[in-house]
Amino acid sequence: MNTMHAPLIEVRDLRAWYPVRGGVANRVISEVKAVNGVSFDVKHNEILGLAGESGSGKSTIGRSIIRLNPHTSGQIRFKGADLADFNSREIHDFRRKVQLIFQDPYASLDPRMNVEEIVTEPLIVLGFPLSKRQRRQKAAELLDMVSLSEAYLERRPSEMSGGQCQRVGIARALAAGPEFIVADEPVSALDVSIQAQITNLLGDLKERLGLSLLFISHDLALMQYLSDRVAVAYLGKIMEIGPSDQICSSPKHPYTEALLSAVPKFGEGHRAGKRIVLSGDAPNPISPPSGCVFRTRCPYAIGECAEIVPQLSERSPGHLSACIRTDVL
Amino acid sequence: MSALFAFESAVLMTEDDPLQAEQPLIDVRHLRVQFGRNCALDDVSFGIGRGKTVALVGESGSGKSTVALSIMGLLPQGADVKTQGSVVFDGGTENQKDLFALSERERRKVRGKDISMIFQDPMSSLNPVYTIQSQICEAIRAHQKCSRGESKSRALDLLTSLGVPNPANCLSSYPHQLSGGMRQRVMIAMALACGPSLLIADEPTTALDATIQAQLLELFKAVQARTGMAILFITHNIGIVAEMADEVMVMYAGQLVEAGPTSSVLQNPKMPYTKALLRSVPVLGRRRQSGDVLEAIPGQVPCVSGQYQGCRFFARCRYAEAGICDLATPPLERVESAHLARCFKWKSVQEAAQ
Repeated sequence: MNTMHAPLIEVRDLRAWYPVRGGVANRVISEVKAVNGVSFDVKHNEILGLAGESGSGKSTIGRSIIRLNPHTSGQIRFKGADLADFNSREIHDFRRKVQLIFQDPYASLDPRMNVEEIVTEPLIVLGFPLSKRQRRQKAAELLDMVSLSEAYLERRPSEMSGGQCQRVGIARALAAGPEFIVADEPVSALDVSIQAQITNLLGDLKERLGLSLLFISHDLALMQYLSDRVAVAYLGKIMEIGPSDQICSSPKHPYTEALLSAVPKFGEGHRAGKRIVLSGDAPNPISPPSGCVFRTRCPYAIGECAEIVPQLSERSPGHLSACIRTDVL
Repeated sequence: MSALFAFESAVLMTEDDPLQAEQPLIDVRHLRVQFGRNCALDDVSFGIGRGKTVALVGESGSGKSTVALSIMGLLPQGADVKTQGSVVFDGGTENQKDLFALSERERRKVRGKDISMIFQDPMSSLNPVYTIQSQICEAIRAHQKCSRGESKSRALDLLTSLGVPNPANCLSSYPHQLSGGMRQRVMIAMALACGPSLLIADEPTTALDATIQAQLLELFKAVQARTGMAILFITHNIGIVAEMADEVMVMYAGQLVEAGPTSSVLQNPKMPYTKALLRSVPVLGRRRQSGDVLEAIPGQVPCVSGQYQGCRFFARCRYAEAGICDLATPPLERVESAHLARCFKWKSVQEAAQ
């Protein structure tokens, strides 16, 4: 096993199905296929954007990778080693190296702890012995990394704004010196001007600390700005994955094309260009459509789309799309 | 200063657009709302012409929802809530109403009939224990005399016109059985039930997915083209403003800081806050390079209480000059024919840029 050249995270055919119970004796009557066969890599010092609408399974993917959610089948490899083979000590070690940043900065911080306690708690939990003085010093260092002054050490979440709370959430994720961070919609609960501050901070931390991030968001413009590569999820599957510039300038999947055209634009030539409006809502993940899961809303769907399950195939180097209509896009 | 403002806004509405030679549909003058010592709105004046879409932009805490709620008369009542100013609806016609002078009973006749409102979160604005039919029919029967059968067929027509697949099924559903986009369509149906001439939409698509948002924006345009109603569109998404609005107003800490035709404000912002706001949003096609930063606005919106001196954006403004900007509140000045901005330094900043 060559750990030097293996990607940091490898996900192979990941499935996360949740049982739906009902009927007599509360039997399992069907399954919600939240994530249904997803494969991708996250390289060293890379930001992989994961885009998709609600119900696409993007949060479940992120949480499964860091073992917050159980997955039904599939492999997750960290530096080439399969997580399923880890013993308890290795899992403990793995937990130190992967962290999560949550969407809602208020809900993810304990209101009764002050900032010093919040940001150093991961170290205590992971068993680093810290004296009182070391703890304060470490907390101050962490706050400095996210551009908050020491004055915030004594504050509680209720005494801070959303942007400041999100910085504290990021500092906490950095506490144990992680290599991989899942950022689940880290800015969508914040105001526009604060979003820019946090976006800058994430980009800066990636460079300074050599972090890898899985950046989950539904904002494609933000995603293109921050991510090296983008994966687009729909109904538990990856529709398209590739370099972010290519995905956003010449999408090779009808869903990506529709998502991009749905973004209200301003600037040069606004109000111009035809918008592709998808009809209806995403189907129910309990019984996804046969063949391509997007075919029920796809403007280019043909008869064969109901029969063939499209596989991700390379359209240009590093740019993969799962669509059989290669003639239209 | 406020006299100048009133004059300017009157001119904004009448002089430049021949279609608006008559009075605007709704004319808000010197609106001032205080919650205790906090001044939520400070001397806000604007008008909305018939059939126009006006966007109101600002961050949380800037007072944009308070504007909507005071027009609707839905601000909480209490000793510590003080409202001043006037809101005249349908001025110059037989239907003219000074909303703040109406009794609560008369107010209720306006709400839902002349002016309707759509809220951000469709789930919490629909009653979970009633069917969609009873909620839409309630809105119809509150203002119009008609039988249950008539109101039901009216509700059915409304949902059909809003592109709801299988409207009969939707009518017999409860809110939790519908998706977010469908719930928001039901909210729109309720708001449109009595054919209002002004629709206030408070972040109607913020809680929804991108593709559903696109559906609803198209729907708003189609409904407006059909009924000719005016829309006050409250949002923080600049892209939506560019796409929907004829005019845009930018709010900051309870004041209007810039207003004018959408293309003029978005392409040629004069107030530093608007400029920074426009630059802080990544647009499609832009990719972060090493060391590149999105322009963030440092700090936060100040909490304004009592007598506030100086420009409210002073502490966060990169062009601020002590001795000028922190001493008096800048007036809302005319910078172009219909474009107003509240800044002492817009001229010198513009000259320096050239």
